[in-house]
Amino acid sequence: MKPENTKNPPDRPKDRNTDIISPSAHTNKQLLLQLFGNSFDLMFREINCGEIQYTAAFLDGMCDRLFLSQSVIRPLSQPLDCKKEDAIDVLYDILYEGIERAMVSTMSEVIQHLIAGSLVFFADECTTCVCFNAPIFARRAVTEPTTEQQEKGSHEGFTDFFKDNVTLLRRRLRTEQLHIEKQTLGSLSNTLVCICYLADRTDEKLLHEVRSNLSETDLDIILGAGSLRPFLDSRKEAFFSSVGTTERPDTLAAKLTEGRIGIIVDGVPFALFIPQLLIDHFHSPDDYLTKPYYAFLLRCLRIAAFFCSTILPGLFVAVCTYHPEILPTDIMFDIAVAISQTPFPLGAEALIIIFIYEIVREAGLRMPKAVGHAVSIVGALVIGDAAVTAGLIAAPMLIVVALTAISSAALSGIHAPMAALRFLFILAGSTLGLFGIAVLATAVSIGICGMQPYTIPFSSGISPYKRGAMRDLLVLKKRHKTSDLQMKDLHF
Amino acid sequence: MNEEKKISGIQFASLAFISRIACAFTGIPNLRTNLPTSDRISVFLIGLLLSLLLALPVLLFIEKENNRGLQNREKPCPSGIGRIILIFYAAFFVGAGILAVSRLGVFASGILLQKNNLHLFTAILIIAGAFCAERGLEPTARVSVLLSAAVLGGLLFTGLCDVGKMKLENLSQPFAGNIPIIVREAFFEACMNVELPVLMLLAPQIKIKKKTHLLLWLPLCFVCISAAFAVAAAVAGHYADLQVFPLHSLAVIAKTALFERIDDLLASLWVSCTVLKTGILLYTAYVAARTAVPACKKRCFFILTGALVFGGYLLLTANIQFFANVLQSAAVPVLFLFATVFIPLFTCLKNGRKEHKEVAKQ
Repeated sequence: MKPENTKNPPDRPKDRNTDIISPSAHTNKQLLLQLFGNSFDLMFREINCGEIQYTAAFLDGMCDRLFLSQSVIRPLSQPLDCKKEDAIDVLYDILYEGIERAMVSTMSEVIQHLIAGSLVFFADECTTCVCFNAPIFARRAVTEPTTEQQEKGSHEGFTDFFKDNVTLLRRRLRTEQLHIEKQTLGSLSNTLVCICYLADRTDEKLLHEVRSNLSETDLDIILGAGSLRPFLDSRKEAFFSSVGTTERPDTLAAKLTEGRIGIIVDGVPFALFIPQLLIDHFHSPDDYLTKPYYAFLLRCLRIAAFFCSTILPGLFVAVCTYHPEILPTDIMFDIAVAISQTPFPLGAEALIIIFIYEIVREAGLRMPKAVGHAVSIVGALVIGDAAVTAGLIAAPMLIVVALTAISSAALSGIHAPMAALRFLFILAGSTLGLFGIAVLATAVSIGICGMQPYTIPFSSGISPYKRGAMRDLLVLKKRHKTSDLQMKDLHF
Repeated sequence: MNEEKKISGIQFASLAFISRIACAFTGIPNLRTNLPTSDRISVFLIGLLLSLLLALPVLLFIEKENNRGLQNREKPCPSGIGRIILIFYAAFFVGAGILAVSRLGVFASGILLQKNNLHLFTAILIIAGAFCAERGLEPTARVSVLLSAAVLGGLLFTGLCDVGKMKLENLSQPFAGNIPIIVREAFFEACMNVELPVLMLLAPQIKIKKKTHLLLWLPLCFVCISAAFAVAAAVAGHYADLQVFPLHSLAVIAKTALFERIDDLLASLWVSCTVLKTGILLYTAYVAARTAVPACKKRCFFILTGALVFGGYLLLTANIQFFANVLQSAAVPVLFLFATVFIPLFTCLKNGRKEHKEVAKQ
């Protein structure tokens, strides 16, 4: 791993006098107590090794006390034969088996190590101290991804601990070309953030831009990957995000192989990858495990689901309100009869149902699992049955909304832009008919084509046409290599 | 827009194709003269030849100026006549935008939006066009490639739907009408190719491998529009001659198992074409204005020109007779010839003499 960012967080002692380690262990102890505001979990132990006395400091609950007492404290039970000013150097040298340690010379570094779960040793007449790292905390086991289910592929998903995630990635990319840079971001949270990339495949400019965007994060606290997204997104006002998320190590490995950059944030079971392109939403790792003709069919279905989810309600409202002559006569009459029995205009009806659907969806996501089912049942009964029976909503509209909801479930990664565009298309369809939809669709297409995250067109693969980029768009090649699509080739 | 990004010759051709199609399909062919529909094919054929002739000064200008474009010759800050020329071009393109939007407005008032608020529709269309212009040339060109495919597919589909109803005896002989009238109509048609002066200003932003690519859209437009008129004449006969928008009636007649009528679907494509046309005209106007007045702010310019286009549209379409008079007036072709023939030739001549003098001095 490359050296971590050594920027001083703002809460660290910046004054030269308070930042240096005093030759008096007692003074250091008092300073730490003062800096931590006499926190109860800041603990000190005095260890006597003959003439030399060490003062050990640690945060209770943050480090593995059993491991430290066996590996660090026990070897110090015998007297040490050295000068007082060499006490720290000797300690650093004699304890080496399986212990991660560091020699530090400033109080800010001491604080960083303490927070990270280290045991810090001070000694009189020494202006440096040694930190033994043995953090311990509750850790979730590697489990199956919940948001990106795969039928035949790996069942391992990212966890909350970044080192586990790095290991999961390393197991899939066993090459020295996988570089992982560690940074600490968030002045209060001091969150560990890892930038992962394959050195021989990643464009240096892209890497530089990502690094510089990350360095611009001036947040106090980073509790999730979402906090970093606004800093990494190339166009903040755009509907679609150029930063993708994945819960799967195999997906991230595939993305890195294509020359993209991954970002793993400590405490989050999701990794970010940059840049994300439009076609990424229509691909799934399962595609590569099925026959090419079936993968082609699946991808076509996903693209159709995207259009269904975004445009279908607006299109239905537009056609039924302004252009019923387009439909075959029998269907037109059936729909007209159903619509005529409802009190609301069709556009308002569509907006109401989509609005209720979004509420039910949101409630289903946030509620405890046990109650979530109840919400679904109530939603289905209220919307599906009672509203139609009461004559508030037409049955054809309900069918359209149900189809929209199912389609949006097929592409959960872009639910946010699809939901927003759906409302806009309903508004356009209900005010200006098909022509309103045409104008909006043109504007949205221009917006998508105008997005160039990190100088790579967001719509690469579809527009502009490039042979390399088209290889894995709809049809899988006979002998597919994920490395066929290279970000380097897509640059303008 | 990033000035470094260039579009390909094919992308420009599709952009010009879309722009021209928007003009042809929403226009009223019988506004000036009542020609039989099949005679329109002759009009477009002569119009194509005239357009190729009118394109020569533009190609000469691009060749002589080494793809620098008019605005780059005048950089960093033009003075005197250079600034006047650029301001003329900016005004010319805004005027062309007003005509394009008004043409669609008239088409929409009669055909598309009998139940809707037409002014709201036009305002939204202009906003979308200004949005395209603000995003720049490259995204607009890329969308135009996709839209060109959709338009060609739509026309082909309509033709296939109508193929069973075609009667070849409905087609009259070529040049059956009055030939001077056909030539005059062809001249007016050729003067609608506002894409030629657009090409002159946007040349520095186009990767020109072969200059012939730049004019691909002219024969493509000829083939599409002529084919559409031929099918309309063959299917509807004299009924097509009586229609204000004969190409739209072609779509009205078309019927498939899934759709009873496809006219509104096809018209939606024409609406999208007009959005792109408005966008590209406003963008080109901005390119000219930016060089003439370097302090010109991009967003302010598009807001201002968008408002101007809307105001112009309201003024033009308030009275249909006034709109018809404007389209028939000699001012339109004169301004077009000035922008497409006179200024490029004048600039080439002036620069040629300047370079000749410099060589003589050396």
